[in-house]
Amino acid sequence: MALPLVREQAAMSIQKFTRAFLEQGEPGARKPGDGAVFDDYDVQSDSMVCAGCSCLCDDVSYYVKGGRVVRTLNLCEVAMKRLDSALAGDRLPVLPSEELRRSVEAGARIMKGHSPTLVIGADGLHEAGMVGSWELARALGGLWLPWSFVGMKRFFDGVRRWGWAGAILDEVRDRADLVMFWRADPLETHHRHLSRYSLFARGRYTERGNSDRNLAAVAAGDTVMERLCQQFFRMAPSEDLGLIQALTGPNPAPASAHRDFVSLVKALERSLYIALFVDPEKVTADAMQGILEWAAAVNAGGHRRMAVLPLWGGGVNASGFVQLSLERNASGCGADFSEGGMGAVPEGDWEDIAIRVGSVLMFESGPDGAQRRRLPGPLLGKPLVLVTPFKRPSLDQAQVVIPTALAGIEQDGVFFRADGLPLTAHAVPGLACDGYPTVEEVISGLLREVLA
Amino acid sequence: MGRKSIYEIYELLPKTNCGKCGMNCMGFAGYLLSRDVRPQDCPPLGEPEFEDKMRALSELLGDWVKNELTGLIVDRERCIGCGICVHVCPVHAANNREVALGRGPRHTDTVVMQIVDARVELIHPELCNRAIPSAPPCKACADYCPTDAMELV
Repeated sequence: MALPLVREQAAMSIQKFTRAFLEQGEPGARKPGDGAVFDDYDVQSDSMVCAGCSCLCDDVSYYVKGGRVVRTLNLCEVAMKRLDSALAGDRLPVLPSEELRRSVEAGARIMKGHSPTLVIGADGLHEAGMVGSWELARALGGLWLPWSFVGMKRFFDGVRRWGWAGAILDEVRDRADLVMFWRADPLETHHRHLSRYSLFARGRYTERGNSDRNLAAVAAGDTVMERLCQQFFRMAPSEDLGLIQALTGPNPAPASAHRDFVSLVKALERSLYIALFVDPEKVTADAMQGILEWAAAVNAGGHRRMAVLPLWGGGVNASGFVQLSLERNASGCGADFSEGGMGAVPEGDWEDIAIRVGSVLMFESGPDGAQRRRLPGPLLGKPLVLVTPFKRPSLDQAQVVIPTALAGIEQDGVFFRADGLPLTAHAVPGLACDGYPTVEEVISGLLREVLA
Repeated sequence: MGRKSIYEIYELLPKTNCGKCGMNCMGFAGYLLSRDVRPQDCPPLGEPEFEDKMRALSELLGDWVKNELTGLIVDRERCIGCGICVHVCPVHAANNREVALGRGPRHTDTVVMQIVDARVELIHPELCNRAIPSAPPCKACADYCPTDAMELV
């Protein structure tokens, strides 16, 4: 007689968490209270896309009253800082049309007079701005590079040799039972990544969320993610290749002495699908090759078991930059239209590039908190034309500053998610905009002056 | 994870047992731990000689909001709006398929908590397991908060 009672109790235990139980009015059922319903707004928009980082969360809600955003839902701190800066006092004033025209002319004069020009930061722009910046760089006979140039070049050198095992984030959510962050820290750069895609979201084959997943990370220093990891390797980038070789081959490298090494090896053995997120800017070139070689070996035979996804810490639209660059010159990481460049990727690092360029056209799309980029040191001192919505430290270095509208808040813009999926970040409905020119309008003006 | 120690708090108090708050310093530390009082409720802490301790205490305790029904304390300064608490909540996992899949709750969803203006806010605390005496004890949100922004008392 005990067994039916246990079954009944188990059924009740499950039942009391279901909506049916809540609604049927049984004793002990929880009914939601009236709660405070927020109704002090004019316009409400749901399922908006946030362009704060390459997560491109598409579940954001904005409440607008009197032309101002008064409340948001599902925005993380990174995006909130960008929104606050966009709507509060961190914006440059709109230039009157005559002053805008003079600024565009002055900018074009600087770039024509100090060629070749380095066009940098297009990986932070929406697609239309990015395409315009490509055309402008080509017209100028300049260089077209992303913030993450060094890392992108490193990544694509590996892709050319070993191929690229990518995946969309929804597949990672559904299938990955081992998730690794190799020198990428989503809690620093992509706050909602763990909850939306990689660790806590419940998928088709990961119905218990993080309980169905093993999280491992490799980092140089302290990170809050350590407490969420089953395996955590605090080591210098120079040790990465040793760890990869120890994990993938018979070579008993020193990394195998790490306390979490055996645990990670076991996790690798029992996992059916591995998702490895890497920040190519922070790993060595050898380690980047090692990771891609590892994925190629795991996926050999046609069964995809491992995905490698770069988590760029630079521009929010780095994936879009990669796509455009692959499409236009098959490089994935920029182009060199200067004499002798032939449209290919420039060799060398920022120091080599700084020696070659005469001026810089820089695009910015985030305030200090949201876009953690500065002009690389070797380029400081070059004549600078700055196209930006925000007051930034780089204002002091610029000869010409042109304020623009912000995509995803004041204008529509297509961005590419970390996995390459394009999404449109619409302007917030009901928002009072101050009449900033769009980035593509500014680029059109510069292009007209350059070609004149 | 995330819970402060009464001794950490006690060390930052004047330790004079003056009784101006109505209790001794250890007792006051206990009430601070459960966020039933604020540092400003200790008159000596407002004096210039204890300025450093007041600052350290404010930093330790953060800008917190406490819900009496669930005992959940949220430090609004430490919360980064990552949404992990929303997605590990077993009530959400059982009742809202989209939230379980990783999507943030809509304004029409009946949820225990939600990210509002990049900070977690309790919307329907009465739905939390901790509000039901017979429900299994749950501390998932505080356990998985990566920044120690959530604490349960």
